[in-house]
Amino acid sequence: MFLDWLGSRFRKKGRDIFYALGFTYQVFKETALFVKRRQVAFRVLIMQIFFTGFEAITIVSLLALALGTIIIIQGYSSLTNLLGQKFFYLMLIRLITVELGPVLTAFIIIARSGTAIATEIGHMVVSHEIEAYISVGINPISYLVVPRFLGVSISLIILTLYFSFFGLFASFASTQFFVTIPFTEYFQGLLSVLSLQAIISSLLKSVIFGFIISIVASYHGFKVSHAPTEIPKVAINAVVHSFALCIVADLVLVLLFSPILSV
Amino acid sequence: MRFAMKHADKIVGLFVLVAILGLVGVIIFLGANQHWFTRNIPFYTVFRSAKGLVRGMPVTFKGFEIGRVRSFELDENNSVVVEFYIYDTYYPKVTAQSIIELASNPLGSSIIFYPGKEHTEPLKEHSLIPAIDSSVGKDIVRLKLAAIPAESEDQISAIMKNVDDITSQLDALVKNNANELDTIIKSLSRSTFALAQAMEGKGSGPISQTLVGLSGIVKNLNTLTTDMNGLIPKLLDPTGQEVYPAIKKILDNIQTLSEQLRQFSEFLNGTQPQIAGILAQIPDILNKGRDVMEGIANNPLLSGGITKEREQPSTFKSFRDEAF
Repeated sequence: MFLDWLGSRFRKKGRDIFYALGFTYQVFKETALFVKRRQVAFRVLIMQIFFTGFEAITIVSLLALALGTIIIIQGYSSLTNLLGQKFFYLMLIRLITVELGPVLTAFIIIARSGTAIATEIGHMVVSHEIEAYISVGINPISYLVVPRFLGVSISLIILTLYFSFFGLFASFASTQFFVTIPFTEYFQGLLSVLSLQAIISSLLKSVIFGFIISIVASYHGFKVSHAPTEIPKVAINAVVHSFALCIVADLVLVLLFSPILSV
Repeated sequence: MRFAMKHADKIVGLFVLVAILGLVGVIIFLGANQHWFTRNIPFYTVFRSAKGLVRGMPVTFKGFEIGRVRSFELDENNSVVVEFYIYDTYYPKVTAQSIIELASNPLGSSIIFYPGKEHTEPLKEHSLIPAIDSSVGKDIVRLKLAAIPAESEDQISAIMKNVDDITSQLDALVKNNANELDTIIKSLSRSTFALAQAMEGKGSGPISQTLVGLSGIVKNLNTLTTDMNGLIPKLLDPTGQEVYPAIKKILDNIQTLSEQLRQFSEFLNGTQPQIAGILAQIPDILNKGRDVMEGIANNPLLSGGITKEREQPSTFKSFRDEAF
């Protein structure tokens, strides 16, 4: 009995994984054709960047500003006295640009846009809009998923850059009320430890997180079969799976980049 | 929001453009700061060990970073070949008889460059710059052909070297004078034992006898000071007319004062019921005074006199008050 249950679970999970891999392959294939086709979906892409990127800039900048200020106030005197200024700037770059910037931005995007994408596509499935697209010869992946996939990925890269700017420079201005550091000293200190590898690592993380969030959210949206009651469930699954996959991807990227960044 | 939706294309364009410009700006600053846009002239050197070497570590001259280590490997002679580059700004300083030092200390390591004293043409690319501890490097140092400062640039290494020298000298000194040191240590041991014996009063030497005598004197002094008619009180007041009468007078005064204090407290105790009665009457007096004030305020000629106060029954009721 137990073996039957285990076998059926295993078969179902295997089918799901293959389906997800096939879905991801279709998304990448259609994305490669997106620019070439110059479809009407370009407008959808712009609106996706608007909703996912521009509208999230307030919360992202606020978070980065607060985080940068906390790290500078807490770390400047203690870390500089204990381990030297270079270590302080290294910690600032590692925390804000390389680690927390992409991860926290991804979390915000999951909470805002991941749920929105899953819910929207789920509603479309329930209201037979997807079938309507297919019946008139429009590929739903090409028209619905690809703009969201590109939009979320581009927005995440841009928001991560804003996060770094606000976390490193705007927070410097806010800390002047508490800790007096000359700007030239601060700027030179950051530039002396900032490396191209750190910037590339940060941007690569954003791209991968963007891929994960958009694909997971769309995939779960399409998993709705017919009832509106399934929509909240798939939205929750989209969030949970996106969080988990982003953290695992971050771990893999840290393992890949740590030998390069330690130089 | 309608405005934002209408101009979504422009807003998104600006949103992306600002981020890209910021990124490009940071990369340009980074490149300028880290000498990306300058030509790097490659050289190499040979060290005995790679201990403390890190790929990308800076090569310094008088505290300035003038280049970086590109790579290092072990060759067939078990020497460490280090490839490094010098920024073109500092290339003219790489003259003949220049040497290089890998300064390692427990807190880290650094590569220090010392240029040759003679102002010659710079060395060609991919030339060997000898290490300070190589045979060529030692010759250059001995003949004072390189500009090596009197004090090492690496302070920690210099301190460690000094400590090392001192311990070596100390070691040699101990080895050469082992017999004398042994005699001194034995003598010191005997002296400390004798001193401990003397302090306990067990020995027979002058210190021991002195301590025994001192103990007797202290005992006698204790006996003399405890007797009021003994030697010490007599020494303090030989005539008996100066100190003791004054002390006696002060004590008499204190006794008189305490007697008066006792009488005053008895008087207070006696008048306590009267004070208590006065205090008990004060609330009534205050209530009446308040009524009078209210009467005046209400002006009895106009509003009909003092208002009657309704008594508030107490909310507290004991079981005894209940009817049964």
